[in-house]
This record gives sequence, structure tokens and C-alpha cells, in this order.
Amino acid sequence: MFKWLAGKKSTEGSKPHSLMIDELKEQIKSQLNVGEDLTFRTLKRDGDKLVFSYMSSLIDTTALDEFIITPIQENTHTKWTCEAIAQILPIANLSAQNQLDKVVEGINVGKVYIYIEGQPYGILGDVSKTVERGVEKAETESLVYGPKIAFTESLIGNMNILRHNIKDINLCMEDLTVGTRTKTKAKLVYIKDIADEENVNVFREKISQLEIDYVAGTTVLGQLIENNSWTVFPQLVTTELPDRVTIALMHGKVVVLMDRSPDVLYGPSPFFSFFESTEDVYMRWNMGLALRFLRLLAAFLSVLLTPAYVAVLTFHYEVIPSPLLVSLGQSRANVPFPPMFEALLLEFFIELLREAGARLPTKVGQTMGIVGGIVIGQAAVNAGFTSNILIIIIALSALGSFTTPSYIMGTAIRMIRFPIILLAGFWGGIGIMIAFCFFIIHLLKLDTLGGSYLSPVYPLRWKDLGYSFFRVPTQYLSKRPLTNHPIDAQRFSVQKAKKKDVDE
Amino acid sequence: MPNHPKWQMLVMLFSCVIFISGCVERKQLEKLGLSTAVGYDLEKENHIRGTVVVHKFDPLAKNMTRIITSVANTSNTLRQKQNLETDQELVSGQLRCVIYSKELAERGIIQLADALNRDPTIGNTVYLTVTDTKASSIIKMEKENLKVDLGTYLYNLIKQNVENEQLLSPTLHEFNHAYDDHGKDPVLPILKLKKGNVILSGMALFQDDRAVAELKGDKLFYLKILSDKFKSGTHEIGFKRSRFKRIIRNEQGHRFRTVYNEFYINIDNIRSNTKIKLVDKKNLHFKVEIKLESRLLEATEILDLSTPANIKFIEKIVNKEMEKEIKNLLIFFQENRVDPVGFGNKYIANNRGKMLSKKEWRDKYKDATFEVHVNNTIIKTGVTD
Amino acid sequence: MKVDLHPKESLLFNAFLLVFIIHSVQVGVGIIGLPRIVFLNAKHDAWIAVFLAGVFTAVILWFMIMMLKQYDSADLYGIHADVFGKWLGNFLSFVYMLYLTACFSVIILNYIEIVQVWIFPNLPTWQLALVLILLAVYAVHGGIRVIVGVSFLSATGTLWLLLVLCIPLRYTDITHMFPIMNVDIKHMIKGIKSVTLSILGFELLMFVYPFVKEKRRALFYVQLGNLFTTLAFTLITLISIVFFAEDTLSKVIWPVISMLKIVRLPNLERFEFLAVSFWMLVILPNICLYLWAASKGFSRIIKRTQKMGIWIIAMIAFGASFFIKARYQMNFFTDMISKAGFYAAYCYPVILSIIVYLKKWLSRRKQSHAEPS
Repeated sequence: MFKWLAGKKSTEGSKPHSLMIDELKEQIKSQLNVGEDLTFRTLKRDGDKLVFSYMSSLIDTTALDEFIITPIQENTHTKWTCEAIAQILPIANLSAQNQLDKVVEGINVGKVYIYIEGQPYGILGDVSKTVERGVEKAETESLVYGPKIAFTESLIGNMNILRHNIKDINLCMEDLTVGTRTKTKAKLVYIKDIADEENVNVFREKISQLEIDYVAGTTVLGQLIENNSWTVFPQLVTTELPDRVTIALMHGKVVVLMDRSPDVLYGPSPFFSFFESTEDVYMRWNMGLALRFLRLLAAFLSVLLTPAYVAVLTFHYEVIPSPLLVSLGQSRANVPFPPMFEALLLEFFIELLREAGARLPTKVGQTMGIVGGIVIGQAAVNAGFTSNILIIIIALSALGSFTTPSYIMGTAIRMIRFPIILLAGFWGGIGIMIAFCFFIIHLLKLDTLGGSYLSPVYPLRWKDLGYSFFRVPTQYLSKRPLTNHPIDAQRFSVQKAKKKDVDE
Repeated sequence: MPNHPKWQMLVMLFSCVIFISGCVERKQLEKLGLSTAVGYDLEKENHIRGTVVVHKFDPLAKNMTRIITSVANTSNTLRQKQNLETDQELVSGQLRCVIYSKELAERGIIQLADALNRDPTIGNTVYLTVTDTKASSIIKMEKENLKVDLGTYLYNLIKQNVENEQLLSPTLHEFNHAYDDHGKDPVLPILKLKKGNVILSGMALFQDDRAVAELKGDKLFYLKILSDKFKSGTHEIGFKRSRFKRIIRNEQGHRFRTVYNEFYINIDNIRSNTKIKLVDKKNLHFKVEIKLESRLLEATEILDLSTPANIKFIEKIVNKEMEKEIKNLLIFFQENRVDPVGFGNKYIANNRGKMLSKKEWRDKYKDATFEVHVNNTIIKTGVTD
Repeated sequence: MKVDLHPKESLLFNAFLLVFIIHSVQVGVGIIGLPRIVFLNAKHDAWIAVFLAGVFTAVILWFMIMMLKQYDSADLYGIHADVFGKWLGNFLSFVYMLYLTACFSVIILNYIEIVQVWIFPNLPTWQLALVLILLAVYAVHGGIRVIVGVSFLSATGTLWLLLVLCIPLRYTDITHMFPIMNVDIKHMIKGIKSVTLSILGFELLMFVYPFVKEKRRALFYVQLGNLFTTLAFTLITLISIVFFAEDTLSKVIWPVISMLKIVRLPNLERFEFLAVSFWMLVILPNICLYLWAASKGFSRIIKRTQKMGIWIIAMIAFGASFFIKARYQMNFFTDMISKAGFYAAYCYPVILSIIVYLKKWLSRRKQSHAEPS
């Protein structure tokens, strides 16, 4: 029955606890220094002593009362041996222990240790409760269409959501632990016959070889396992939307879930996957195509617009077309600063606004945003502090950088604008080109775990362009993206999807 | 990670470079005085007078233009001397129009045009013009209700007329092209002052870079037909009334009072295509074939255009008249030894062997003979028949 | 020294990318001045000269691929060591390395001269040279995959410049082109020879070949890249001839950029500023590949790391930027490199491939003689 009872003795380094209850209590108290939290409840019957040890902050007291103490008290005829007790307890998660450190560990995670004096083993029963929030709408990513639930901090809840999304038996969830002190549970999720073996191995090795005391969340885990930590560009996507993770899993990516963290990490994710949003999938393909182009164009412009303004006004006055010349010149004539300084000042101002708006409580934040944005901008123009054309340009580029669905990528784009403005202010158009070439080389050097960063543009994979760069009608998407080297590449039968002839 | 020391060194070097630099000169827009139009006059022997329209950006005034004039030997020295009279650096990147006075044009303008060529900041689409008085008088013309500065006004004046197909495009590039071609000569428009307004009054024909003749009015149309194609031109031709008697509409019982004693028709919406062929190489005989499609909208008497025979009659007469005028124009060109149409190019294109030099072509040109055929089709007559 | 170079599987790239490599290396700073240089010799038929030069290049490429096919996976250094033995082979490889370094600095200096004439007259040469060299060093440190990526992105990113060149067609005069085939053979040959500097760059195939995944398809893709370059050059030369008058084309130093002065985009009046800045993206793969090929010699011949080689060559090129100041010095330097390139890239591979073929044939005969006996 209880095979582990007949099992071997424990490994070295741990010793069984004392068989006397009082000594046991002292041993546990010396290991766990938690004061009043550690509670002992003793039951006596016919000379047998039975002690429950638990931490009252971690357990669900109703469960303890109803499912542990009540059955033991009511079943008066059963002898108090551990097998008998284990039979009558209506708890799903039971295990037998006699090693002190394992007992202490169990109490630490919210289990109750039931020990009958003199017995060789005691029972650890799981009556823990975790304080967590219910399933809510996503905060950092917002959608118009699609399921609105977001992942929460509970690993079990997240696994539940994922498993209900993909009812495939090939969905593998492997256990991992991160953090030598915090011992946070993590799960490596992938679909066995779609995801590439090598990718899964890379992830598994990297996470299990981490020797760090504490990992604060999935984003930190992502930073620790990435290949290049010096760059501003993120190499793994973090998201809190289950449908996005589902789509990623079906494409052959590897997903990492971590307990106590509502974000989920997946990879390998090339550069263009940061510009994909689930809305492109839910809307019709033409609108998805237009939206994706709009996003890429907006990101590109937001990086180049302000530096172009600075370069043209500082060095290349010949380029300005004549209708624009007068208004540009007039608006610049009011400003005492050189264009580079003015642009940097305004960009700094916008960043201040954004940062302050993120830190303030919601009620104050909205007013500050409106006040800061409109009023101070207008006042600055009237005071002759800055030109109104520059305000429009900066507003456009700020809007452009917010269109990226991934917040981290949006911040990265904002950050790289500053050195480009500096270069444009020193070397004009040539400076912008130098920065452009630098970023091309830099992006080519990066790699996301398991693939190059700029795929599918380089290395060129035609069929994948239909997934990442633009959206094509679904009948052309019969194969999964090659970037992830999937094992089972066919999604649906191409023959049946072919169009028939007229009147056939 | 092999990238680490590379990255740090790179960052350090980049920052060093950025701080050391600043050796590139800045040209901030609001600190510049943009010269939009320049006029050159021959002041005395070996000296030219340059007058420049400067557009400044002043926060207080609405639209500031200033006229500065000085005397020097070369155009760049002119700019230097003009700089002494202004508080903002003079740059010519936004130069739109250059005016040469008549005497300067008659002596030759290539040295000034070449200076414009070499300067990388001046674009190729600058308009070159000639005036029949002094250039400074045109530029000094003050006009209070001129919304834009003189350079932009002149630019728009010429641009609009080029687009309306009244002028051949006089950009610096076209001038260079025609001047450097061994078989073609440049043409530039002539500006004139009329009652305080600057107007276009014809085109000047150049022999290499010296102005030798003028074309006015009607002849501009024929020049453009020969050297360029029309997309939507307009032309008026005058005839004796007697030739058209048979097709003038005669309602019974009415005798139309005639307003003019000559008959004019105006054809517009002209689309033209010209082919010049070298028929005889030894005798230099050129055949010019012009195909026109036009619309007859206006005539000084009401015509009866309902029968095809009438329309053909008009076409035939118009063809003959045009051929006569074009022949006269070509003879006029030959007499003045200018070749704005580009017959020389056609000759060179058909001539194997050594390339002809300009002088050789000019010698040959006076022996050339021409044969002109005009084929005009009146495709529409408007809303009424 | 090993003759064959078998790089890691992850460093190999698809043969399809050879199209972009060859095309992007051939299009560099030479194309900007090409129409004038050919016109000075071949007059109206310059475009025919350019096209024939492209055909010759295709023949030379065929020779090169034949030579490379004889070995398993060798580059030029390996072939030198195999054919000429250790000392002579190393000496020849070293000479070739010097040639590659000189090409590297010529491209950078030419580009800086264009920037100095058209945009920034006061820009000190060493500043921009330092930045460009640092960019090339950064790229080459990433290895061959990064460089191939740079050529791919540069080739696709500058394709639109070809379309822009069709805008000047409005101002052309087609009679400039006639009469066709008017020049005599002597001038035509001189014209073809003067195309060399611009169409140079394909000799880097001999260094890149070991890294190609499917070597059997290499010939096809290489010819495709060369064909594309030839067509582009011919088109550009043709447009220049019909756009400029004869005397103008003999005078204008950089006809392509002068042509672009006419272009007027809706929001940008003077397109040549954008074009000159964009040309940096066009020359980027050139300088990266030359630097990579030259520094590879360090690891193959001199047995030092390639990284050290990169820095040494970079410093040599940077030093050269201090010495060349005037236009005529630049001209002289460029002409010298052009002549060297003609021999190093046109004549030498043909001779070498014949020698390699002979050697292999002799060794096969020796083998077949050895077997029966």
C-alpha cells in the first residue's frame, strides 16, 4: 500500500527527528524561527499522543478543522498508526516523512505535520492556502478583440488556463526550480511534437544551470538567460495574455511560467515578433496587414523624425521645400537654443511626463498628463522656448513609439532615439546614417535563444514572412514558421484548402 | 562573452569622437540670410555688379527681404562683399532665380553659369533669365503687396508659364545641356519691367553663351513645337476673310455684321509630336514632320463645322500657314546662326566617324535646307457643331 | 597550414545569399564616377563597354569557380599554399592581403571625399574615417554571418535608388545615344578596362567560398548577382549618356549624384543630400568584406588571431587617411589601385586557375600511373 514506507532510509545530511513529541517540538522550533506563527495542537487518546504542527499564516484553518482534525476525532475506533490515519484523512495531497529538514520544509510551504508519538513516520498533509487575486483583465497589454483574461501570480491557476486552451496530450509541462533561496517553482511548457528538441534543451539547460539566490520575476529570468545582456533590445517576449501564449505554443515556441509572477516568457522570438499583436490574428487579414505595416512604419518614423528635424535645421537648410521654409524659419527664429538642444529638451520633457504619469496614483495621473501635455506645451511655444513644429514632431514620434504591443520594445525604441539625436546634431544626415548602419549591424549580431534575431528577414524565409511581416489569408498559412524548426510543420491539408474551378 | 571589451571600447571611442567633433560647420536656418534671387550687371570693364534679394527670418517682422548690391570681379567675391552689409550669413542654397543683364548676356555668361555649376549647394533647377534693361532695376522693384519675396515670385512666374507651355524650361541644367551639346544652343526667357510689375516678354536666343537674337509672341509657339512636345498648348492664327468665305455659316436672311476685317481662329488643347529626320547627309537636307491634334473652340466668325469636308478645309489651310511660319522661323535661325532646335544633334547622331565640333556644325548649318510638313487634326470642336 | 577550411556548420550560409554578396560588393563608390570614366574613352557607346565588361567578369567568375571546385573547400590562401608551397604561397597571399587592405582604404577615402565635396566642406578626413573604420571593425567582429546579413540588408535596402534614377529620364535627349557602335575597337577596349575599378569586388568570392552551404549551386547564384550588377551599371550609364551633354559628362566628376540633383520628392527638395548619406549603406558591405578577407590572412598565414589582424589593418587604413588630401592625390591613389585590381582580380585568377587545373591533372596522371604499376 504505502510503498514508500518500505523504502530505503533517507540520504545523508538529514536525520530523522526524535520520536518524542516534546523533543520534536523543540527541534522544529529551533529550525523555524517564526515565533507565534508556528502552532502545535496535541490530541491525546488512550495514552497515545498525536501532535499537529503547522504555521497558522499558511494554512486554511477550515480545511484543517474539517478535513484533518474532525476525521481523526470522529473515527474513535481506528488505532492511531500512521497508515490508519492516512486512510481516514480526506486530503488529496499526503506524504509520509521522518526526516527533520523535509518536515520543516513541508511546514514552511503550508503543510501540516501529523505525528503520533512512537511511530516511525509522520504524515504531511497539504492544507495550504495561497493569497492571490482572481482572474482580471490584462493591465499592460490591452486588446479590442479576443479573450481578456490575464495570467495571475498563481502557477497552478496559469497552468489551468493554458491546459484548457490547448487540450493536446502532447502539451508537456516540465518542472524547474529557480532561485537557491526562494525556491520558486517554474514550468517549461512546450508541445512535444511541434517544438524543436534543441530549443527545448537550450531553455532547460540555461534555467537549470542558473545559480542565483533570488529571481524577482519572469522578466528578470528572461534577462538572466538571454545571450546578450548589453543591448537595449529584448530577446525574449514577456506577455500576460493566454491567447498570445497559445498562439506561440502552436507555432513551436517554448514557454516558461514562473510561480508568483503574472508574466510569461517565451522564445525564441525574433525582432519582428515584438511588433505582432494578437489583434492582427483576430481581425481580417487585410486589416491585420495594414495594422502591422502601420506599426512598423510608426516605429521607424518615431526613431527618425526628430533626428531628421535636427539634422535639416542645423546643417541642411537646402532640403526644405519652399512652402515649408517660411513657417519653419519663423518658428525657429523665436527660439534661442540650437535645434539639437531644443529637441533634447523636449524629448526629456516628454520622458519626464511619461515617467511621472506612470508613478502617480491613477486619480492624479490623468490630470497631470493632460495638464503637462497640453498646457505646458502651449505655454512653452508662447514663451518662445520651443517651436510649435517641433512639438508636433515630438508628439508624433512619442505616439509612434507607443504603438508597439510590447512595452519593453517601445522603451527600447525611445531610448535609441537619444543617441541618434546627438549624432544628428553633430554630423547631420551623415550622423543619422552612421547610427542607422550601427543599429543594422547590432541587430544582426544579436540572437534570440535558438535563432537569429532578424529572422525571417535574414536569413530569408519566404513562407515565414506571412506570419511576421505581413498577414496573408489563412489558406496560405498551411505550414508553421520555419524559424522555430518545428517537427510537425503542417497545420492543415493544403489540398482541401485549394480553390475549386468555376461551377465545380 | 567576447563582445564585452569590444562594446566598452566602442562606446568610449564613440564618445571621444563625438566630443572632439563639432569641427563641422553649422548652418542653422534662423541664422542664415537666404539669397533667393541674384542679378548680374556689367558695371564697368572687368567688373560686375551683383544685386541680391535676401530673405531673413526675423521674429518681430512678418516677412523680411532686403536688397543688397555690390561690385566685384567674381560672383563669390560679390557674396563676400554683400556679407559685410548684413547681420546674417548669406548662403545661396535656396537660390531660385538668376538674372543677367542684356549687355552681360551679349558678351557671354558662361563664366557665371559655370560658377553656379561648381557650387554643390546650388541646385540644378535654378532658373536663368535675361533682362533687356539692368538686372538691378528689376530686383530693386519694391512691391508692398507682394506676398512673397521677389525670388519666389520670379520662380513662380517662370514655373507657372513653363507648366502652361508658354516657355521652354530655362533651368540651369537645360542651359548646361544645350550649351555643352555640340549641336544645340540655349534659349533663356527675357524679363521686363512693366508698370511696376515684372513680366515675361519673350525669349533670347543664344549662340553658345552669347545672346544674339530675340523671339517674341507667336514665334515662341513654333519654337516650342519644334524642340519640345505640347501637351495642351494654345495658338491663334490670322487669315484673310476671303479664304474662309465658303464655310462661314450663313443663316438665311441674316447678314452677320463683321467685327474684324481679318479672320482669326484659335486652336487649343494642342498635343504635338515632332520628328526631325536627316534625309540627305551630304546636302544637309532636313525633313521636319509635325503631327498635331487640336481643338477648335474659337473663331472670330461663326463657322459651319458639321461636315467633314469643312473641317478638312480648315485643317489644310492651318497646315499651310503653319508650314510657312515655321519655314520662316528656321530661316531666321539660320540667318542668326543659332540652332535652338537641335538639328546638329540629329546630324551628329546619323554621322559615323569623328564627332563634330561646335564650330564645324556652325559652319555647316548655314548650308542646311529644311522641308516642313504639318499635319493638324482637329479632333473636337467643342459643345456645338 | 591547412589547405581546406572547414568552418562550423552554424557559420555556413545559403548559396542564395551569394547573389546579394556579389552584387553589394560590386556596387560601391565606383558606380558614382563610372559613366564619366568610361565616357572619356568609349564616348557614346560607354554603355556597351560597361555591358561587355560585365560579360568579361562573368567569364572570370566561371574560372574562379572552376578553380575553387577542384578543392574540397579552400579559399585563396589555401590554394596558394597548395600550389606554390609554403614560402612562395605565403608571400603571394601576403601581397594579396596588402591589395585588399588598399581596397579597403580606397573605398573609405573615396566616400569621404564625396561627403566633403557635396555636404560638409570642412569635415576633417580622419573623423569620418575613424567612424567608418570602427563600424567595419564592429561588424567584422561578428563574423561572416553578420557580414552576409549586412550585404543582404544593404542590397535590399538600396534597391529603391535604382527606381529613383528613372526620374531623370524626363530630361533626356535620346539622340545622344546614336550612332551606336561608333567608336573603334581600341577605344572600346580602353573603355572596358576603365570599368574595372567599379566592377571590382567579385574576387572576394575566393575568400567567401568555404562558407557556402551548397557549393554546387554557387556558380549559378554568383552569375545571377553579376548579371544584376551588370544590368544596373549599364542602365545607369545609359541614363547618364542621354541625360548629360557630351562636354558635361566629360567634366562632371560624379555624374550619378549630379543627376540626382534634379529629383524632387514631395517633402525633400534636394535629393542628393539624402543620396550621399544613403551611399554609406551601399559601401558598408564592401568595407566589411574587404576587412574580413584581409584579416583572415592573419589567422591563416601569420598564425595570429583574426581580431588582432582586424585592428592592425584598421590602423593602417586610418593612418592612410592622413596622407591623402588633394583631389589629384586621391586620383593617383585610385588609379594605382584600379590597375592593381585589374591584375589581381581579372588576370591573376585566370592564371591561377590554369595552374591549379594543370597541377590536378598532373597529379591525377601520376596517380593513374602509380596504380597499375
